[in-house]
Order: sequence, then structure tokens, then C-alpha cells
Amino acid sequence: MQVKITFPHAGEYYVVFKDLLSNLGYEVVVPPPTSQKTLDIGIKYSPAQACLPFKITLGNLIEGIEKGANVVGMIGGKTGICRLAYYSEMYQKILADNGYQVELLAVKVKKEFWVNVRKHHPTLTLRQFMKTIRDFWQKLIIFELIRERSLELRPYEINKGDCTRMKQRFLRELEQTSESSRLKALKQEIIKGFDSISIDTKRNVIKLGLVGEFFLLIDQFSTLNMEEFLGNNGVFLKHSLRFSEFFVGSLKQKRFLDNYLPTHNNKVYKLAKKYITRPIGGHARESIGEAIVFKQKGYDGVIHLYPFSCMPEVVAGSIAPKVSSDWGIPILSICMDEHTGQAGFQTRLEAFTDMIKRKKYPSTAVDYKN
Amino acid sequence: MNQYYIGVDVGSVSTNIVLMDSKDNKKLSEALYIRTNGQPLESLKDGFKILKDKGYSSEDILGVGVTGSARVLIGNIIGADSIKNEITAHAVAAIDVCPNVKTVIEIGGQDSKMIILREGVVVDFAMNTICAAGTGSFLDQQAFRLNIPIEEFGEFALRADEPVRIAGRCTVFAETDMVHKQQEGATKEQIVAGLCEALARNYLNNVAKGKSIQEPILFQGGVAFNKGIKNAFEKELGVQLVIPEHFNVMGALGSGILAKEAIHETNKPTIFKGFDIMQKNHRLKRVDCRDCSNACELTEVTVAGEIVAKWGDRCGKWQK
Amino acid sequence: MGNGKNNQLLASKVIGIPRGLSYYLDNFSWEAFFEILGYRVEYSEDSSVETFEAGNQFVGSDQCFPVKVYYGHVIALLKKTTTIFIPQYTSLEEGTYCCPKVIGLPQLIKNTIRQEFNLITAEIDLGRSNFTRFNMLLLARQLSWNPFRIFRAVTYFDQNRKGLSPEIPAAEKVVGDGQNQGNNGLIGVVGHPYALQDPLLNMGILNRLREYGFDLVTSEQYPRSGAQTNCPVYFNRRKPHWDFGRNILYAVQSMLQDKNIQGIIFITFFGCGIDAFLEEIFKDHICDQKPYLSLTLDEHSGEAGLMTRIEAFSDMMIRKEGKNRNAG
Repeated sequence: MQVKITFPHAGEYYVVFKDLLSNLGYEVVVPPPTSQKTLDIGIKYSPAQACLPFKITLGNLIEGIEKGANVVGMIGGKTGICRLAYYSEMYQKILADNGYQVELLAVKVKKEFWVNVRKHHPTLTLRQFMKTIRDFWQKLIIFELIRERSLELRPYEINKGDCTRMKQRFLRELEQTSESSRLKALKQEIIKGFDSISIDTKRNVIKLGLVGEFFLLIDQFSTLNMEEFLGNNGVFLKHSLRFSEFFVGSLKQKRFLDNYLPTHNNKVYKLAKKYITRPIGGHARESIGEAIVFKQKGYDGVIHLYPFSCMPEVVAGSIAPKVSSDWGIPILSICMDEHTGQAGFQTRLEAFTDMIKRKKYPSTAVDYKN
Repeated sequence: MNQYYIGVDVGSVSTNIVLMDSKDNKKLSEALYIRTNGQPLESLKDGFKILKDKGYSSEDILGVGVTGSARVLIGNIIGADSIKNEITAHAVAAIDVCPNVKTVIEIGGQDSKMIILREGVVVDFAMNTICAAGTGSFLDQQAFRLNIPIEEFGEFALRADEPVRIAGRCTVFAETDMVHKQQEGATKEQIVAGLCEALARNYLNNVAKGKSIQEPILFQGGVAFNKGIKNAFEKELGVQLVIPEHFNVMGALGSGILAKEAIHETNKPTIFKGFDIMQKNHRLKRVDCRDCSNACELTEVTVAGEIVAKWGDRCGKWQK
Repeated sequence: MGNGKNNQLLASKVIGIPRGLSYYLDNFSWEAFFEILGYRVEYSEDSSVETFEAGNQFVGSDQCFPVKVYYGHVIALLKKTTTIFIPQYTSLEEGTYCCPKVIGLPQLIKNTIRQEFNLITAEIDLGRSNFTRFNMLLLARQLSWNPFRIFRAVTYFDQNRKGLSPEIPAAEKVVGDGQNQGNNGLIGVVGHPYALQDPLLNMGILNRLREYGFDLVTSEQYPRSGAQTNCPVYFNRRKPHWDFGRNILYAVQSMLQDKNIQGIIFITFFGCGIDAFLEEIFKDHICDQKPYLSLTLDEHSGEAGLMTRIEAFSDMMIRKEGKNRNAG
């Protein structure tokens, strides 16, 4: 039987993951881009109180399976405290109940991944496997470069839409590039390309950090295109966590390092210690710690996003006001679910940025009294 | 010759328009309060017609600001100099009325807000996220059920000696509870007072949770008309609430001030298209943008056959 | 070196323990533990509507009902004492975790209640006994300078902790044929321990069911895990990684096998992430076999609506039973 694999979307990251899986020898079925239909499918089959990421990813998988896939790949293992560790069981149960007979493949940096891939492709050598992983990694880093540059430049761009177009052009190129030698050249092109965008540095731009549940940080659909909305409103946006960091975060060695050596995460944990002493699942501890790191780096505010009924982040969300008053950094905690309306969500984001802008650039607020 | 700034607040329940004297923010030449009835364009058309009939000329308008849930649509059609969210608009108006204001309680038709200010700067805010139980619609519905005109609601509440406690998380449960309380012999007045307290409690438990409420407190929005609610708040909080003169058009007033700000900042003349623009034929159309792979769905507005605005794009290039 | 350096605490000599969430997770007597160290323990009173309302103003609106009530308990205790003990249970056996909210509970409370108070806590991970023993030692040293007392306290914890073993012998607790059945039959009630024990949280459902003439078996009477039975454990799914997730799945599985249990009620709370997943796993299985009622509660649940559902459920059970009898 031909192995056809599908996987959930996470923002535009499919560009990288598609390549990883096809280089490993799979025939890849990319599900249609996440849409309201995807979400509706997810809601229909998920328990009512499952979190938004679960509903969206399940919708993606079902759409992918209907396009002919018979294996689903997913991120997230069997360890951890939050519900992510039980996602795979839930997928299997729900998919089987609804007549979708599929196999699950956990995509992660563990030996298990190699063993499972080997089952599908007995001829694959370890050497090839490692090379594929290395290429994937290289691509992932480039992907994140594109994403970050577009977020950094968007508030300054003179011709609206330049950053978005540039980002999409490079994403398409990245999707088509697979030789590692070409990737290096592409990286240079990207740096040059973004530098060529004409910008106005005199604008009143504020810097906001984004913390919270990981899926919401990268998925544009579930956050109602927040990145572009904020960018156009004069916000320099920075994510607390990169996908690459998330990916290695589950490694035992990495966790060991973070606990004992002065890495970035170690600093984050130390800062968060007063509020959350130990991991409580998800990225709750990181959310708190990173918010403080953003303050120390001179950011003007922090947006904390989490899905409704996410247990760890609800704790972080409750503690956030205390962090905000202790460190003097405004934090906007927003709980997202499938009922979140775009109008109300954007009003809150806009009011938050206005609030910070008027504080930071008071001239605009005083002028009128003549 | 007087010159004016126009502030428009297009909400889901009412459309408010103010004409603010260009020299004095506190002097409102006109303050209109029109029911939206789900049709923001129609209600604004009516409003502009009234202004025109009263003899105001488009040339005397120095700037226009729009706020409210239909702000993007209206702002693009009439040519607004400032299109801002309701929270900023309300805060700006509150500061203008009372420069040392520390808390703003705003309860409108379908949403309620709390704004915390320190030294004339917004430091925190909250909006109702869950349901209508802390908003004007809640009272509207209950008044309808009790067959009391909403205007008299406050009077009714003040007449009650001892309000009954009504579980008012949502309008549906409140009705069940109201029937139940009537069965127990509560009077209409007691129930009305109980509803006012339920609204205040809901507001404080949902919107104002964890906020440090300090005096002076401004109470604005259409619901501020209701003395029963004011009383209920004062009882719960133990402090006095100040109701500004133009409490029901504060959003519009704020957007007028924001327009003035915008005009002073850019030093450009207004882009207002005149009162007549609303009388012309409007058409809204969905179009797809094919410029990039985002394929955004745009809303395109044509006025008298001419495309005046497009929005709904993620990259922002169609917006002005 | 650890000679009762917590001066504030020494002055009061009273430690408050809120009765909610983690209080119900084990049967360890903290009272005896602190008594060895020379402290008196003050428990909070039974939960009531007033308890809940006193705490509600501090809680984020998206927290679950049990957490909201827990705040109330803390507030009530703070009227009597300035020292609160909140154990930080992270795990009750190896390889599992408690709910993230329970794990983060001490810091959550400390950082959200504005009133100043003295929080004492210790991380308890029963899967890692040395680690836990060390934490208990640190806790005891905060409270007393007397090495004998500290030693005795830690030993006490160590010995009684064994009583927390997840493997409750099946024969002892699990209901068999000998169970005295009520007039109307036997119902299995499944839920987290606090949901079963606190009448405010479960809205008095358990008592109401007894009034209707039912006998009850709760999931607490089942072990948290175990492979003694020959049935497929956990519905052929991978073991959940939450303590009470295991307990609930195991209990439901066993209740389904038990012919004496005629219906199953699942009590959960709005916003409980764990239960949302668990219910998905066992719902279809129960519905095929036995009358099943799932109650998702929160502070807004109206008693009238709840009772209607319970009555409907009991009618359904009685009718089904009658049918079986007629047929047999």
C-alpha cells in the first residue's frame, strides 16, 4: 500500500514540513489551508470543551484524509502535563469512530521517529535520514528568518503590503528549493530582499511581545490575522518562542541544560520562579518569564494569548496582572475560542496599542487643546 | 462664522452624532441620538439629513471622527479623518470632561467597558467578553418583559424599598428567576431594583474583575440615564459616581476630539465628503484581491457609481 | 540552619488549610504532621455559597468552579490566621501528573489574592520519594528548630505516605455482590474526588440520589490504576497521564463490567480540560450499555434544571430495570 501522509497546518509551516516528509520518501498530502470549514469540521467531531488547537488540527487532518492520506503525522509526544500529550490518543479514537482508518506518526526529535519512518521505508539509511533532518532544520531556520523580518519591518513599510508580498514570494521560493547548497544563497537573497523594502523609521512604532500558547502564536487563522493587523497599526511584534525552539524543547538534554546552565530558558525560568515554580504544562511558565524578559529588553507591552479551557495558560493568565503590576509592563491576556469575533478582538488589540502609544508618545494626546 | 468638528459613534443599538465647536470642546452645537435598528447607513443618512436641514454647511466642517462597531464602513464612506475604537474614544472624551478621572464605567447597548486612567493616560481597560448580562440590552429585554418603558425603569427601581436578589447571569436565566420571585410575592418595583443590582453585580464580576476602581469615576453610556443602575453601583462600590452632561454621546464626543487631534497633527484639510454623500446611492460588494496568495476578500463600496473605498485586506494596502 | 526561621509563623502557631482541591487528593493527615512540629491546624469550614462569593472577586473568570471555591476557602481562613498551607501536589504516582491548576495552585493563590499572607508549601511528588522527603524536610525546618520534631515529622510523613499507595487492594474496596442495594438500585458516580466530596461543588447530587432510594458507588472506591482485572483497562487506550484521569477511566471500565451497577453519572465542571478528553473516550461505551448522565456544573448551574435531569435519569433507570424484569 502506498503510504500517503498528511499533517495539521500550523500557520505557514507546512512549507517546511512538507519537504521533510517528502524527502523521507512519503507521498505528502497537504490539507487545504485552514478555513472556517476546517474549524467547523473540527468542532463537529471534537469534544465541546477541547481546546481550539485540537479542534483546528483535527479539522486539518480530516480534510487531509479525505484527500486520500492514510497516515497522519503530528507534533507532540507522549510526555508533558497538558492535554497535548494525549492528543494522539484522542485523534485515533475520534478518527476511528468516524470511519477513518489511519496510522499515526509522531514527528519529533527522538529515536522513535526514525524507527517508525524505517517501518514505512525499509530502504532508508540512517545517513539519508540524518541528512534530511539537517536540511529540514536549515529550512526551518530560514523560514523563521522570513517570518521575523516581515514582522519587524511591517510597521515601518511605506508601501502597505510590501512585507506581506515579500514574505510570500520568499515562502514560495523556499517551498521550491530543496538542495541545501541553494538554501544558503536563498538566505542571502532574503536578507537583501527585506533590506530593500522602503521604510520610514520616524514613525511612532511600539514594540510588543507575544507570549502564550504555542499554537496560537504561530497560527494566523485562529488569531484572526493578528500579525498583519497589528503590523499595520504600527506595532513591532516579536514572538517569545520559535518553532525550532519548541521542537527541541522536548529533548531531555535540552531540559537538563536549561535547568543548570545559563541559557535563555534558564533565565526565563528564574524570572518566572516567583510566579510559577515548576513546569505546570504547556508554556505557562515560559509565558510568565518571557513577559518579564520582554520588559527587560525594553518592550512596551505584552500580549498573552491562550485558548479557552487551556489549563496551564489559564493559570498564567490569572497571574499575569500581578506580573504586570510588579514589573510595570502592560499585559493584555486574551482567551481565544471559536466564538471569538473579529470585531471585538480587533477592538481590544487596537485599544491596547492606542493605550501604549498615547503613553509613549504623549504629544499626540496634548496637542489638541488649543 | 462658526466651524465644527463632527464626531460619529455608530454602535449596534444607537448611532450618535455630535457637532463640536472648533474652539471649545465642551460646546456641543448638536447631539443626535438615533436608533441604529441594524442599519448603520440608514441611520447616518437620517442624521446627516437632520443636520443639513438645520442649516449646517459641509464647508464649515473642519474634521470628522468615527468610532463604534461599524466605524470602518462609515468612516470610509463619509471620509473620516480619524477612525478609532470605542475605548480610546470614550477615554479621550472622559479626560476632556474631567481631566483627573481615574475610572470610566461605560455601559452601552451591547457591550460594556471599564477604563482605568492615571494622570490622563489609559493604563488598563476591559470589555465584556462573555454575554449581554452586563449591558443595556439586558435591561431593554427585561423592561419589555415587565411591560415598563425603559425610560421609567430607573424611577421604578428608586421606588423599591428592598430589592430582591435576581440571579442575572444571562437574560434567559434572569427571566426564570423573575417569574420565580413574582411567585414569591415580590413587587414590580422590587424586581426592577433587583435587576439593576444584578446588572451592576454582573458588570463588577465580569468586566471590572481585578481592576482597582478609584475615584473620580465617570459613568457614561446610554445606561447612565437609569438612576436605578447608578444607585446600585454606588451601593456596591460605596463611592459616588459622576455622570457627565453628555453621558449618552461620549463616544461620539471622543471621536470628534480625536478628529481634531488628527487634523492638528497632520496639518492637512479634512477629507470629509460632505453631508450629501449619504444621500447618494451606496453599494457594497465583495471582491477578491488577487495580488498575492492570501487572496483576501475585500469589501468594496461604490457611491453613485464611483469606488470610494475598499477594505478587508490583511496587508493594508487598500486602506488609506 | 533551619531553626524555625519563619518568625512570623512562630508567633501565630496556627496554620490554615483550605478544604478544596488538593485537600481531597489524599488521605494524609496534615493535622498530625503539623502537630508534631508544634502547630495547630485550622481547617476552613464546609463550602457554602458565601464561601464562593467571598473569593469570586479574585478569580479570573475562565477558571473552573472548584478553583473559584478554593479561593473562597482561602479568604475565609485569612480571617482567622495569616498562615496558609497549600501543598503543591504534582504527582500521586510515578509517571502521572495532577491537573496543571493543582500543580500551580500555591503560586496562583499567592499571586492573585491581594491580601498579604504567609504561604507555606512543599512540592509533593509521590513518584519521587527522595525528592519529596527532602521537600518535607525543608518544610519542617521552616517550622521548627527542634531536630527531634523535624525527624519525627518527616518520618511520620514517610510512613503514612505509604498509605497513599495507588494500588488499593481490589477485594477490599471495589463493590461486589455483597453490597447492600437500595430500593431502586445501585448507581456509579464518577468524578474527581473534590467533585464527589464537596456538596457545594456537586450541588448535593449525591445526597439527592440517596433520597431517591439509590445506593451509590463512587469512583473513589476504585484504585487509581491497576491491571488485576482481566478486562481491557482504560478502554484499550494509552494510560492517561493524569492521576485522576486514570482513576476515572479505570472506575468507569470496572463499573461497566459490574452487573449490579445500573447506571453511571459523571460529574464534571465547565472548563475542565482533562474531563473533556476523558469523557470522549468512554461516552460511547457507556451509552451502549447503561443509562448514563453527564453533568457539567459551574457556579451558574440552576438547581431546578439539575434536579429535572436527575429525576429523568432515575426514571429512565427504573423503567429500564422494570422492562428487564418483565422480559426475564
